[in-house]
Amino acid sequence: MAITKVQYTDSKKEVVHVVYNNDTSVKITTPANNTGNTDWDNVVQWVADGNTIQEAD
Amino acid sequence: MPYVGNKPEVGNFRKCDAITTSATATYNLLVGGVAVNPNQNQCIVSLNGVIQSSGNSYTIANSQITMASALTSSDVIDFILILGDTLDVGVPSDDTVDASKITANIITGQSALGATPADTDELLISDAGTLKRVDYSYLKSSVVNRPNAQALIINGNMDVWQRGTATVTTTGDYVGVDRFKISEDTDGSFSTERHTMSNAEFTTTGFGYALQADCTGTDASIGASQTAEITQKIEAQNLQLLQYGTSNAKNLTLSFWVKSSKTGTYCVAIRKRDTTSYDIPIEYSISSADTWEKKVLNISPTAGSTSLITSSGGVIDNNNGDGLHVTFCLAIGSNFQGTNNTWVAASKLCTSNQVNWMDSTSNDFYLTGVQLEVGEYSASTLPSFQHETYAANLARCQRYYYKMIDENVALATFSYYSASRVEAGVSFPVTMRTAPSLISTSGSSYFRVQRNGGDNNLNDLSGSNVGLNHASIYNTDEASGTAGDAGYGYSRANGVLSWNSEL
Repeated sequence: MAITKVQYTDSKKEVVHVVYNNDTSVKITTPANNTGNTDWDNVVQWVADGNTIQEAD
Repeated sequence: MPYVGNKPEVGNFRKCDAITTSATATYNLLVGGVAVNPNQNQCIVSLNGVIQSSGNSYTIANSQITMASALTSSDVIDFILILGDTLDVGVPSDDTVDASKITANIITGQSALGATPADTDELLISDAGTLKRVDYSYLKSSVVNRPNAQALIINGNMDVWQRGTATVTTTGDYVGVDRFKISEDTDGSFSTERHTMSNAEFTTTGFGYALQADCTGTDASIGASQTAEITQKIEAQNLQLLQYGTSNAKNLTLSFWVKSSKTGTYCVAIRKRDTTSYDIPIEYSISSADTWEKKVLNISPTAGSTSLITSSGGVIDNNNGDGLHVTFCLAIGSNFQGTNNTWVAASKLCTSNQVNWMDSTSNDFYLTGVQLEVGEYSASTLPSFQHETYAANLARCQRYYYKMIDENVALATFSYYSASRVEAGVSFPVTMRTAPSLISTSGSSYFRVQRNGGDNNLNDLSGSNVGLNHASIYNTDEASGTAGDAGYGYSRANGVLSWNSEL
């Protein structure tokens, strides 16, 4: 599975919404800076690859 | 003449052999031709029809009687009776020695064996009250020498399927059976589902369920960097008893039941994570098509004459991170092919002998009874599978994935923080491995909060303030209420919430 979008859920930036493979049938939210959580670790790698976490709507 | 006093019923009463006198005072004492040396005060000696006085008329020492003066050939020693020996109770009659007559240190007073008994060494045992001897070989097979109190492999019997038991095709995720990750990035595809054992299969294996994989799309030529495998990742802090990274690193034994329509050489990889990643591929053979076979594989920390695991780089950190992978290979590209039974500091899942299981849609693969033991065991000495209750097994799985609610189930009591934010606190049944992600299905009105005489339909929920034991779930997209309202929340059709902290 590949991350296609990451967005903070609110302005406090404590939680991110992670989208894999453009799949919107599920909503995956994970605490930000949650090292050891595979979703957050994937986000860290995704950002290291040059991507950017979107601001909350 | 009757015996004076209480007649002794047990004794070592003997009469010495006849003695021919001569011009000497000393004569040998024999009973049945065998020298005896009784206490002189326990003897009755008759000389010339007169009972002799012990110590005065005779003495006894060194199996000889010495009369007070030399006899002549005309003297007659009528008889010498030995009325038992000092501290010699003789041979007890049958069935007369009971427990109270045996000293308490009859065991501790003996020499210790000081080594593992030989198979033919014998022990005493009460067989339904009857004392019998039994060879050690009968006992040792029932002795379980298992240092790991709980199974290192979780859900090895494939009983728990929180995500569902139906057929699922994936390219890389936990999709069905708990704790086993399915990975596939070949040009083909395969699905997994739960297989319910037939009575014959259950009779053979002792397991009710298996993980079934079916090749649904072929790849006749696996690319160098492509793989198809099934993996369980073990939490690092559960592996400290392995003592990896030290000279005392332990042997491991991996056992499992496997069946496939495709015979040939397969591989399992043990992949040590943390600090430095080391892999060891181990071959095994599926000999007969469509036949359950039990495999027992030994993994030495120095396999291939290596010292990677016993050196500092072999350490598995004592934390909640990724410690060890057990990977069952189905098809592996050449980049990941290594040397059989040899640790290597590279990603090597299998050898070049690994079959390409992805080459036909007729191929299937069944797996169950996966157990990883600390120690070196053979098929005959392997401890039995650690069967757990379903509840205990489920609880261990829930540390990594917790399906909180399925559709149409009560969820929680919500409150409205504001007109557009509704939130509820929830608890986890067990402490999660790490703060988990919330996986909410998302679709029109999958969830509902009933408040203040009306319904507030929600498409999905998000997680916040997530800890190891508690979290909150909230919605700010469709939430519509009055600040301070409380409401009853539940899932509707297709509304499912799960928490994920898998490795």
